[in-house]
Amino acid sequence: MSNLGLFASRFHYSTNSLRQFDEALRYFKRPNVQRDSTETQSQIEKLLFVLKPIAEMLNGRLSETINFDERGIVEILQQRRAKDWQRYRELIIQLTAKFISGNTNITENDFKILNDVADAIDTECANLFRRMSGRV
Amino acid sequence: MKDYLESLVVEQINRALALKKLIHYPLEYSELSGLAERCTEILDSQVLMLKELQKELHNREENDLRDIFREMRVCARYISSVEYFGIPALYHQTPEGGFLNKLVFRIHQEIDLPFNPPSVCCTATEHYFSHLFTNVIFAPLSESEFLLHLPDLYHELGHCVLVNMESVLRLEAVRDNYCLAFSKVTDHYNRLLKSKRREIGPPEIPMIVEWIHSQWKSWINEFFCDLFALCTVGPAYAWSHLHLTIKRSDDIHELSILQKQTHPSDESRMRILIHGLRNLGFDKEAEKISSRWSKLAAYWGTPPTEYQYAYPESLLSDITKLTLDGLRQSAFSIVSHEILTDTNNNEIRAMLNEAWQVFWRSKPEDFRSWEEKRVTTLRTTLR
Repeated sequence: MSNLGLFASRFHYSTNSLRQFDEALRYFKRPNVQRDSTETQSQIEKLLFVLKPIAEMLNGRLSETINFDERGIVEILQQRRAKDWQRYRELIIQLTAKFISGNTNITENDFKILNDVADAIDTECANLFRRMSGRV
Repeated sequence: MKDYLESLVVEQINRALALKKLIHYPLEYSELSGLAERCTEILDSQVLMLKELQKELHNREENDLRDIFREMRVCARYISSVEYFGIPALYHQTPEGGFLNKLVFRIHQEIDLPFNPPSVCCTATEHYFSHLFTNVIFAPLSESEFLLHLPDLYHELGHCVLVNMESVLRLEAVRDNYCLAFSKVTDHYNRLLKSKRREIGPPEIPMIVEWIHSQWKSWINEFFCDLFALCTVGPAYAWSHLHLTIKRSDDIHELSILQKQTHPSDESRMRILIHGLRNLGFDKEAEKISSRWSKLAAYWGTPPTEYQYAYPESLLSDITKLTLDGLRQSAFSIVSHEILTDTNNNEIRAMLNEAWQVFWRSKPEDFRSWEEKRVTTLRTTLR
């Protein structure tokens, strides 16, 4: 497979991650979400599929997730939050730990961070799309 | 912003509908019906999603549109993907493409792929590549006239195996061993990272180790596909890799620590292929290929210092074993000496290996005459 194929493959996986992530975000926007239902848990898992490898990297560990490029996403976030990166980095780690601990309550500030992460994945997808279409 | 977003949504719906009209039935080659269905299915699902977004837009405030904006962009990219990497194969149904589609269909039967075969389109601007979203393999235009690089089709089929391993029950062992292989990669680099962080040495080394680990997310796929090709088509794939490297590679020890490197180095790919050949019982072929490779590799000189961290021998050996075990347990038709020497079976892979034997023992022009005759026979057989 040439480079184009590799970009197409990563584009495919990143887009799937973004769609799942946004699906979960839209779910939590609904009024009266049952906080301890199985559906809520499954939507949290969709968020964690993306957040866990990012938090692992921010904690200086290597992630075992294969089909998600956390390095690319972290680089985009870091560029966008260069001024307060250390504080922002901590917020992502804390939010991930909160979901892992089973807390499914999402605040306005949490939504902002989750939207930032989704925007970063969207940027990564756009970048991969440009590369796979040969517009490098 | 809301009004503009709605215009974008409507524009994309119209584009998807226009693309559907470019799929003309009846299809010239029935092997492309899977692609026609897939393109239609993708376009229909994007139209459905865009209509949902249009409804959702009416319930949103101006300052709450970020996810709708992203989803519209996802749909737009998907629709363009179908336009660039799906519809052309259906719109330009050439005899070259028709032949390769029939060939891939035959290969899919021979090696027992547990899912529908991908389609082929002869408009590649690089060597072979697969677009996994539309399930199309792109091949160079004149590829259907030659035999020596057709083994690369098996590598592309390996990518289809990776895409399908989550959903096809028969591929459970492939999936488990693939995950285990990457787990071994991560363990290796976590250990290395720990020791490099403790050492008093250049501070860049731990960063390089982290970088190399992140590249392995692409490299593991390529190694898997190389091994898949090797165990389904046999030594012909290793010869094809050698041949392509000689013609195309600018550095067989490639290791970029500044830019993303999508493929592992050609040297490491050859090393894993040699491991694979021995594992499959092709020891003599491994010797021959290895010996020729060593002579040719001298042309590129020695690797950079960081190369020692990139492709450790123990990892390549573990990955080979895990991958081939997973494939054996998943009931693929694994290549063997018997299959390649059985003159009655008429298998494509037997012919592709024979092509390499004839290539090495013939004069260049004699080989071309032989190759032309075999291609003609093959076309007649597949018609």
